[in-house]
Amino acid sequence: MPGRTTLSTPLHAGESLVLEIPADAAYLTTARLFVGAAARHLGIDEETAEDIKLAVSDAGTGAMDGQVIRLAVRVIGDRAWFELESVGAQFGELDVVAGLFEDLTIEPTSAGGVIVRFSVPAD
Amino acid sequence: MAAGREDPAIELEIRPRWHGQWAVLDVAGEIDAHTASRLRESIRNELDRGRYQVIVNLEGVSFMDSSGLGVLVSALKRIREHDGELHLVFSQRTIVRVMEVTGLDKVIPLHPNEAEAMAT
Repeated sequence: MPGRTTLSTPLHAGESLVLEIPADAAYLTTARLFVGAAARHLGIDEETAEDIKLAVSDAGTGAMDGQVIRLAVRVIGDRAWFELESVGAQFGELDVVAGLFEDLTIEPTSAGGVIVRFSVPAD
Repeated sequence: MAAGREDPAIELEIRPRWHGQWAVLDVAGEIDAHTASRLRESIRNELDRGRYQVIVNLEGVSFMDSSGLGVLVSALKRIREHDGELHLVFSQRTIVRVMEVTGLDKVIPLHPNEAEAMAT
């Protein structure tokens, strides 16, 4: 894309970018910066990156009763998967996230938390 | 014109001003669960003084999620109880997006500039 720069080293199969933040609203900015940077790294367009940041912020907001939130970005095939794990709490309403990403999945963990995932096409 | 962010350490800055019947809030920064309470307090300050014609100018806002929408919807409810009006001013795609996804673009009047909001 003209005017865009992406890092020359893409994520390879099995690699991921991971961030763990306290379940505290003060860290939502950090979560958005993380997924925004990951999206740029993967060559995802700016509009989609904005949707990803919105989804992560909204989902994270609903997990403030937990202990930590783990964010992970993985490339599987031709798609980039964004994953949020709430440790120690459920997520709240995910209507906005579901409205943004139709392939949203919600999966409980054995630790009593929940993982939500959605994906976008990756370059 | 929206207030600029003078201090990057301040995540949300809100400046009230008054133009005729309108209370105008210039908002700059990011609105999320961490900062939305500041917007709530600023709107409440106006409503508590009986100013129910409110324009929230979001031109200086670089990000807003559902936390901000929750504040605006609560304000709208109280304003309508007093036959007032709430208008939003913004043009950023990121805010348009969250308004569209939640359907609030059909509930709260949106304007690309303040003059249009005041002309309603």
